[in-house]
Amino acid sequence: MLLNGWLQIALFIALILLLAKPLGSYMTRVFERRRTWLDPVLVPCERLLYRITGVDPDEEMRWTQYALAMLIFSAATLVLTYIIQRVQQFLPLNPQHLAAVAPDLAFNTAISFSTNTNWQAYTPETTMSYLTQMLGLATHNFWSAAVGIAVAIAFIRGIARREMKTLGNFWVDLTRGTLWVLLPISIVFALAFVSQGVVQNLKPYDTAKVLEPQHVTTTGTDGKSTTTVVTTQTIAQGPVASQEAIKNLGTNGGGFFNANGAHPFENPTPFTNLLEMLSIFLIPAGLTVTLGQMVGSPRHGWAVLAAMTLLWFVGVFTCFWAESQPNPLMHNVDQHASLTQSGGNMEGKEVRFGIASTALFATVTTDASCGAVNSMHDSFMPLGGMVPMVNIMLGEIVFGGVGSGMYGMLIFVILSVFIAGLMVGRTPEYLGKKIESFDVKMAMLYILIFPLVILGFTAVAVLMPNLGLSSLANHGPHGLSEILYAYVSSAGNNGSAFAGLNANTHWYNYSLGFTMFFGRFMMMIPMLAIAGNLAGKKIAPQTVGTFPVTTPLFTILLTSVIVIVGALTFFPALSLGPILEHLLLHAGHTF
Amino acid sequence: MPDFLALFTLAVLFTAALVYVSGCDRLKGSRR
Repeated sequence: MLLNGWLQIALFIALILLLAKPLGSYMTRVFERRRTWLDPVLVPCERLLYRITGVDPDEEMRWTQYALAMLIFSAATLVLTYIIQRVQQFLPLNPQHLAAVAPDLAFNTAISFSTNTNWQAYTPETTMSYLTQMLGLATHNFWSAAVGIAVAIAFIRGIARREMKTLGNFWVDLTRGTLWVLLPISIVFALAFVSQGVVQNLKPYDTAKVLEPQHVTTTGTDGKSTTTVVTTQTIAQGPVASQEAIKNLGTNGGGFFNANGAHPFENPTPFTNLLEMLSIFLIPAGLTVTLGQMVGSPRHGWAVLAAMTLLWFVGVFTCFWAESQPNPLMHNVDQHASLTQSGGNMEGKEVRFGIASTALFATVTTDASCGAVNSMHDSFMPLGGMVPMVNIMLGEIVFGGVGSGMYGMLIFVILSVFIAGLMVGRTPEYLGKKIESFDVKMAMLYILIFPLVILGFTAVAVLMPNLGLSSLANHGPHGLSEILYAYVSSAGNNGSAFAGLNANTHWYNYSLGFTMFFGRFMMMIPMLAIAGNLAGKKIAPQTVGTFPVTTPLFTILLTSVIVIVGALTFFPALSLGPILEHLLLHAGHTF
Repeated sequence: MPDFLALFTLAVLFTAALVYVSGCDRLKGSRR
């Protein structure tokens, strides 16, 4: 762990903490419909959209109406994406003449992008046309992110309002989140990426002549070997920069190319790498400030941000440490860090990023529910690979997805306040609102659905050889980690993978599709129910017995509750996967 | 047929989500 690496990590978090307040304050103004400097351009666009769609922006919605609007919007856009994939061969902007996407893969991909997961069971450059990538997938990067932000804002209104039955208007929050927040920031990032060499075109793929012809031997299904001489290489092109910007900013994570952020056309320099990581944490960090301002307690927002930062630091420290360690089975190789090499485990990592920026990216992308990668998580050391998995298992609340991280964290805040209330034998209160049985029931529903779908589907996949094990590349504990990671990543709407598992099978396409759906909508609904219930409550005056949610004690309690719930739920599965693999690695076994 | 299966599955999932919304709302109502 070189000082150089720590300086990169320190620079990253310092920039996030510096940017959180201006962006958070801006988002408060946007969602409270106060004046912003973009109004002269965007207000006419907004009015036009409402006129076309017949939306009354002043209409307020109860939580059920809000949830219904969110579901209708998601269903409509999901079906649209399914159809685009199925008929892409007849549509324009398909210079490679790619065929229709198979039904099970189209089902999986449509759910994946509309749930902000961006799990990709396919190789984009050989499966999706430019039109599908732009109209079917990149649009979801905006929409699903805007839905997440809208729902988080509705939850914050639920806390802030008193004796009201409504949470705002879903269509207004969706529109303003897209026009005022996601679109302008994406344009800035896309231009920065282009300046660094990220491609942005609609050209057919280039063909380059390789300097040295390669002899490739393949074995067919009949067992016969065929040797081919490869003299050319296809270099995929496309509108990458525009998709790269929103893919990270919206914590979507779906790469334009299969190699995702490790591809030199997606993430060419250490500077773009820093920009990508910043854009992943930017909105989730800003929303903590928005929370504090909208509920009238800025210090509460900072306390939540402190808990997120603490959990982030533990993750990045562990991952950086684990990946900096020499592989114990490679006795005769110099694996120490020096001025001429990164040292440690460089398998699956890009030399231009090194260990620190790779460990940081892996932590950031899984803390937030992004899932973009600049390395192959499957190639990490067992404990290094456990960090991304644990980050997602905590519920994608360490900064978390745009919006989803905020409302996920607020569920844990309610749970923490409830536990604090139980400890001292008082009715728990959160910012003056009494937390009652309905709120806790809904919070528990939110918390229980997550492990239920993950562990349930993982168990079925592991116990059914023809379903779950037939497309597995590695066996033993690493194989279990690959399957577990797939379901964890889907339920957490993350989308990154331990790539040794071929998930483009009927079983995985459908079961992971269900997992993504449950991990998104079935968790949003109880959360909105709590918001609706909280909005109707009176504010109780603060007394000496009220548990303050602005202090370091609260931050520590919140962090502890998150870690304990995560550990109690997933430690048995982790002990059979990465922890066992770590122990066996040191005993001389690999998988 | 596979298209029908995929779209039918989506319809079932979203219907389940709507029932879930209604169930949560009723649970809240029954307390009061």
